[in-house]
Amino acid sequence: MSLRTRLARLDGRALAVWIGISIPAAGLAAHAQKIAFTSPSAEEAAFGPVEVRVETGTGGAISRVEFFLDGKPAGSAEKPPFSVVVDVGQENVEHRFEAVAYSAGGAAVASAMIRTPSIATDLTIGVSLRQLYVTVSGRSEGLAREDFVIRERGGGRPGIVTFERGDIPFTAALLIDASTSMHGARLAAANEGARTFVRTMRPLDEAKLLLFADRLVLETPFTSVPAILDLALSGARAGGGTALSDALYFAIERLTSRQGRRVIILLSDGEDIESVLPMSLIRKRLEREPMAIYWVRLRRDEERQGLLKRWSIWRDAQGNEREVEGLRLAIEESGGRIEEIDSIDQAAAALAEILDELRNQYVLGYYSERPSNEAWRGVSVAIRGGGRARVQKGTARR
Amino acid sequence: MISIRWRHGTLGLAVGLGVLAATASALRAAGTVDEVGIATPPWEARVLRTGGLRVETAALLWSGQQGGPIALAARAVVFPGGDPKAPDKVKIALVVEAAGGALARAADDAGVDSALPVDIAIYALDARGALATSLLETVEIPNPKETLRNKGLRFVGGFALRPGSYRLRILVGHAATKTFGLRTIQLDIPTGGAAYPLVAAFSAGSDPGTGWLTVSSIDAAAPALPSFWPLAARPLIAVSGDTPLSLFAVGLPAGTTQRIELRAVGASAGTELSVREVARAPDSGFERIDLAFSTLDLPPGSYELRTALTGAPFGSTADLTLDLVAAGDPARTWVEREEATAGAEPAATGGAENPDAPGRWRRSEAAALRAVYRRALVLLASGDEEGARAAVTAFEVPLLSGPNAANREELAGLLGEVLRSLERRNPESLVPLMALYRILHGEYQTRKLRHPSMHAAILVGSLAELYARAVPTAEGRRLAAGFLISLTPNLFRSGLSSMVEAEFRRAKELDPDHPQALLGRALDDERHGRYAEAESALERLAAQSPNDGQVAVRLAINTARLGQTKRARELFGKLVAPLRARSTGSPKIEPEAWPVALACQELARLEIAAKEWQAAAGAIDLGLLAFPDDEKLLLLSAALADLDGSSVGNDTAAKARLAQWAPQATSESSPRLRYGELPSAEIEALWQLLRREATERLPALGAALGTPSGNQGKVEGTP
Repeated sequence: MSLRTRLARLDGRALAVWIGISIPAAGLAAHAQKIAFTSPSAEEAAFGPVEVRVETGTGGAISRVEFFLDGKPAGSAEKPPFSVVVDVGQENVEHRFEAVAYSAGGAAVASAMIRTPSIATDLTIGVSLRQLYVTVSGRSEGLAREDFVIRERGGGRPGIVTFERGDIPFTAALLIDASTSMHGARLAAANEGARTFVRTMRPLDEAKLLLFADRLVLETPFTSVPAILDLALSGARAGGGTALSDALYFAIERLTSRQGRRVIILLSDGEDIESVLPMSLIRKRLEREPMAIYWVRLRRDEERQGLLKRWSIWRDAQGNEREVEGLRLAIEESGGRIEEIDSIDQAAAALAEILDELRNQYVLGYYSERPSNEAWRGVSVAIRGGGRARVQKGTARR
Repeated sequence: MISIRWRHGTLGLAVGLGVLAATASALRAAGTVDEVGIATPPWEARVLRTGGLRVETAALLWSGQQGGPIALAARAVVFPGGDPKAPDKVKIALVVEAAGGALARAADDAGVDSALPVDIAIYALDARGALATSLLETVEIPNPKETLRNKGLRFVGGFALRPGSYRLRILVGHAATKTFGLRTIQLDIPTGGAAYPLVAAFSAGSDPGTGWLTVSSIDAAAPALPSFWPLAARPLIAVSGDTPLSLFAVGLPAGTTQRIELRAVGASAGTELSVREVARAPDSGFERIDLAFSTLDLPPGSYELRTALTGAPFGSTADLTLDLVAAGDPARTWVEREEATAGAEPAATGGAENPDAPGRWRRSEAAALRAVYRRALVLLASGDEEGARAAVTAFEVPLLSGPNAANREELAGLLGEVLRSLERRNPESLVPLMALYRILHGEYQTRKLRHPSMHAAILVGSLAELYARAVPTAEGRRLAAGFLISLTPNLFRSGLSSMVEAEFRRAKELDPDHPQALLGRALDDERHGRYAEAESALERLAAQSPNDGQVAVRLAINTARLGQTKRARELFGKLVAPLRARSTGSPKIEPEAWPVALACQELARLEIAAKEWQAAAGAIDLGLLAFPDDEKLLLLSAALADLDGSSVGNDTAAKARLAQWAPQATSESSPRLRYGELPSAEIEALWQLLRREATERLPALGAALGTPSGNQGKVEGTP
């Protein structure tokens, strides 16, 4: 059962928080309504994106529900099921969720409130739940919590506190190469692949599109609405050089403020030429901001024919090789991977495969046993009974 | 003037072969190989990667015109099983044989006693005429006169191709004397499931490897080679009552029979041989059929051998040219036989596998075309440049765009005659022609007319060299160099970077101080990591133009690359100095100031690399004052905040500024992109100057043509 599904379940304990709160006379409709939280559960601590949902009683029509998190507006829903997604952050703290229901006339008719607890720990200072997004290969059957072993560099085998599989909401930055080599049909196909990706996302997922050449060319807001991408992409043209590292840095910066699972998906046929930032610096940044990088790498005809130049005006062959290797390492360390394709027509399928992989990832939550002042926390995941786990290699202290 | 003997005529202009110096880092000694292709030290020859092709070499390969004084033979074999690295492709093995005597004579002509570089270029053109793959290597042969005495050069290489129909154009050339041989063979690769082409191989005894200096390609794959490999491209067999021949096939059903026919080269009919099947057995992934037949009734000479399988569900044939010699003939290879019988006359190497067999013009057509061409030039001389362009295009393009490669050679010969005649009368008459062909080059490229555009570029180059020799003054050389440089933007836009490099190199040879040639060469050096050479050229340019920002920033960047940090700081410092005098809120610096923005970025990068955080922040802040929307400076500013111990200012502000930044809609190239581009503005200015020079010389063209010049118009056209 996914985290979201579990949070959304309606069990006896959640029913216990059915409450009917009297609204002051001025705002009270003629027939009192009841609303109750079905998600999140009052029994479980909340982290990251959380679906907040209420059920309404049968007493009359409710046209809108407003939600509040810790006293602050957190969104509204205008039709059943009345739900919003709220990012509560990664801090291990109590949260207060409130909902106010309104009738079609705009009058407040009911409200509800629940509190989610924090997780009790011996040491509450400097301890935060760490989440590992694990891609498993070599095992076809579903795995259980007991099948995984987390090992920390320098010693430590922390227990798995939370365990989920698949369908965890993610935030993605889609980085599309719009340099001259992607001119015409290639960029159109890449953009179509991005549209398909967004269309296939779940409602809680969000993505941002970043088109880049030797500089950033286009940027959309984070969205799950394909129409927003359509609007932005109309008239997008390819041209210019390739500043891949700079574009990666942009994506990292844009994702830094987002919580939960963060993914960068790069679609490019080239290697970096015009960037000011070296890959070594990008890797350093990623150590502090864990996010998985996937590279859909469109191999050029020249490369297939062994004619690809491995140098440029900005770097000699050695420097270029260093940057390419740096990118490969960054991807590997992030827990992502490189998907090589020979034709742009394969881009949509490659993106779909990545989406499928993301949906089948395991999410292991644990508390680090390493000293909180340790500069680098390396981590690996093993699978009992065989199989390979791909996961981010660790995090640096912020 | 350099003249090159073609097999079918003389091309008077300086069309020749040259190859760039081999890339040092890619050098690898291949060693000699014995009869079965195994390297055995000490090496008699080594194979190097060719750095690139010159314009003329590429043009020759594209032209497909076969011939040249170096006689060649070649064969290609399709290997079954595909290429593990590219499953959609199959491996092709190639053997190329070149007459050693011609190479040795070429070495003699050039006074080469040490190592003779022999360039081997192979283009595989698909059915549409597009380049599918290529192989460019140089064989360096020490002591060539001795090594190649009574021997041929046998080159063994290969590549991978998708199924389809290809023409392999094979050029073997000697850079020093600009002599070459060009040969084209057909290669058909069946799609998966179909039969592989037959391979017909005579046993090693009939073609001993001792007559060859055999070398392997650097990139030669080393799969399990079949027993017949390397096989002779053109076997030499002695007349015998029991000549062994092996056929190698794939997917051969039982019950097939063979039909073998020998036909004397040039004859219309052949003789079917009585063949005896000796054995069938699997061999290296093939099925081998050993045969024997008698050649006792045949006179010695060159033959086409055609083998066909009958009874197979597919029609499979193997064609091969061979030489039949009398029993006891001392010749070991076709090369020796030709050396003995034909002397220096190049051997015929065409025959059945000659897809580009040249058609011929009739003499009367050539005379008529010469008259048409002359009339077009008269139009040009009269000032009707547009009419001249239309006239030249009308008769050139159909000839140059057609499949008949001979037309291109004939046309070049015809133009050569006219242009040499003009040069003799008045070399200044060549200048309007250079401008005309420079314009036509651009027009043909815009219309995607590959052969015509190549032809026009070659003509500009040839005319420039002809003019520089005829007018050997500083002005003459500078003008000629200018026309070569004026070709580069079009070539660059077409992705022909090696041709761009070649034109800059030739221009610099003509005029070592030409500013655009120096800049172009510096760019080329930078692209290839030759930073010291780039710095040297830029130093000369900086001395010529001390206030040129582009030159200054290039010099500073290359100085930094060479590790001269202190001097680089000084050079960057001079570039950014004007910014220090500006106050916050000053108007933005104009786009022409891109070298200054670049200087700020690069100075910041230099300081970050040196962990001089304060200095880096200073360079960034200074740049952002003048270029507040410069994405790269904002990135550097935010990234500086990530670096350990780099907290030198308001890190949060840097991050926030980047968070708020949105992509700018602009048609301007970014400074970093411009850095890698040709100095197009400067070259355009140069071109305008050349156009004026050309207009001024229209009377000279009129006089050379024997007609009065109108000199009313000017040379116009697309840049």
